Amino acid sequence: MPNFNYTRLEVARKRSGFTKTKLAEAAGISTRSLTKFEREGFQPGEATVARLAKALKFPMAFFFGETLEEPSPKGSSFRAFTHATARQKDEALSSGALAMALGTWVENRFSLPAPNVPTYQGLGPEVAAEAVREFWGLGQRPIRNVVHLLEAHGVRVFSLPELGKEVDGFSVWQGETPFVFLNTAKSAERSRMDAAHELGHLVLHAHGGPQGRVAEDEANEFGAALLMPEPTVLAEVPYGATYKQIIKAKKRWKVSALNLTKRCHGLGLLTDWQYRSICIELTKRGKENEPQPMKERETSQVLDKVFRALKAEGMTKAEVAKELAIPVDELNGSIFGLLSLQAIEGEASEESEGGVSDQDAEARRRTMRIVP
Amino acid sequence: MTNLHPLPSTSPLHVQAQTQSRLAALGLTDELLQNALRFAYSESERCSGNDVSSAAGYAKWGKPLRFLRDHLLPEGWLRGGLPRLESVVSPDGSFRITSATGNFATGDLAWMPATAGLKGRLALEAIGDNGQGALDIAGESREVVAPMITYYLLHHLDLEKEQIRSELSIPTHMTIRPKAKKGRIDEFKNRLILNSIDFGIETDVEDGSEADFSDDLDIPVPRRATSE
Repeated sequence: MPNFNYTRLEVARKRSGFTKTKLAEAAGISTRSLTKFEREGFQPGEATVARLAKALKFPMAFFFGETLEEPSPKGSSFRAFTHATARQKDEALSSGALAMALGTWVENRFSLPAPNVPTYQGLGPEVAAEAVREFWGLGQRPIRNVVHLLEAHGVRVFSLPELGKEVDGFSVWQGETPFVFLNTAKSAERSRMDAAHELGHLVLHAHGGPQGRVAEDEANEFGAALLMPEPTVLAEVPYGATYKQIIKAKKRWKVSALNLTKRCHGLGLLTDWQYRSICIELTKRGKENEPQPMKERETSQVLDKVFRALKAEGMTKAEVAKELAIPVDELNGSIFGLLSLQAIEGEASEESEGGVSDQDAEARRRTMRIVP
Repeated sequence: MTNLHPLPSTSPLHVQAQTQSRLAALGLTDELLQNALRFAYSESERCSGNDVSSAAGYAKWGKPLRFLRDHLLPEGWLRGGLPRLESVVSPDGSFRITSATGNFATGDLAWMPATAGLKGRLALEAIGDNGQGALDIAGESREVVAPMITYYLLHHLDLEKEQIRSELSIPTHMTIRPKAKKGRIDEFKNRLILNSIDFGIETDVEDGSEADFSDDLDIPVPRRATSE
């Protein structure tokens, strides 16, 4: 039997949101023992591993795999950094580790686009966004699909299982490969901006740089400039645009009304007073109630093609999860909201044959709806 | 002579094609003046019934000047500070621009426009002198000997056609109401007709068609020949 991998215990514990004390209680062992098991050199017995696996709802095989690559907290960028708790960050990072394991599994079986993301540390966000557009040959046109754009240039995009509004997403360079993790429970417009924001971190902060609020502001500015290039906004949005004009114009760039309002204010198209007035109108609706929202959210083309190909070969997500020795819910979490409706429905019906009830499948279809 | 009604303009001095070059000679563009008006009408539109009664009209009169000052003062233009003839003054002091709402004939060379509101002594002096007025720069005491021309940025909101028409013109006549000692400016020369601004919401921002977006990407994800 292979050796117990203590690093995987910590990943599973953090992913499940347990403190050491709580997990020890749930598994019926002492906290002291658990602390030892998370260190190198201590091997729990098979019965203890079984109790830990049951408490964490992970397959036993998971704890005997190779050490997982984990996103480094130092190299990761958290959205809304100041609002996320340490536990939420741990959950997000461990979720990222599991997604990266899925990424490696996929990459061993499929040829994915080579990373082609430029880094422009030291450039201002607006100039860097313009440079990325130039580097990728986008011109000034609105971006059709940000997730596809990232994937086409070698960024591995995964979903974060819902961790609350405090964590919008994060990104990390793992060696030469850029990863972006998105909280796909947000509106379609906000997800686009989140993806552009994370690209900003990858481009601007690949080798360190500012931290915290400053870094977030830079990434916000980059995301806004990438999605709403200055020349086209100045050309197409009138000075002093009204609330109604903002609602109409936001469709041009597939952004939220609030983001376009901020951009117009930043570019001098709205006075402070006009900006405040429109923001007040928008906040009356609530953050989750985007006016005239996009009809479809962006999905992953890479993951969609991968899971369609696997399905054609007769391989279900449950089988993929088994090969990775992770719970199928974890696999679903990494791709939640990133698969097309057809892929989800096909997979859901297959899973119902493999042990997931029709009721569960129906519930998942409801929660994975395409139209927000 | 008094013109109580707008008169047909029989000899428009400039046609549309010449406007751009004339504006350029003044250091202006059609776009700048239009944006000044967009800004002003947008500000005016935001006034509600709870604003003071003159707020909307004040915005239409004053905000074009604010916008022009915002954009032209950094380029060396000056703030003309006569209290009842607010203006922005060209860098060489040869002319100034003030703002006024006009009647239906504004922006239409077939007719002679008039100001919508009554103007006072300073406007009359500006017309009479038209080049001889003293330049009063806010914060500075400065006499300008050279003649100074006063241009009016005249603008009119046409609700029926859903457009704002405007022109930059030199006033030449004002019909005084004797008791009020005020009157409407009702003759202009050197009329530079600006492009009309359609203010209907539907025309401001085009809906993006799918063709306008960046390319639809097809990302190849081929199966590797051997797995694991």
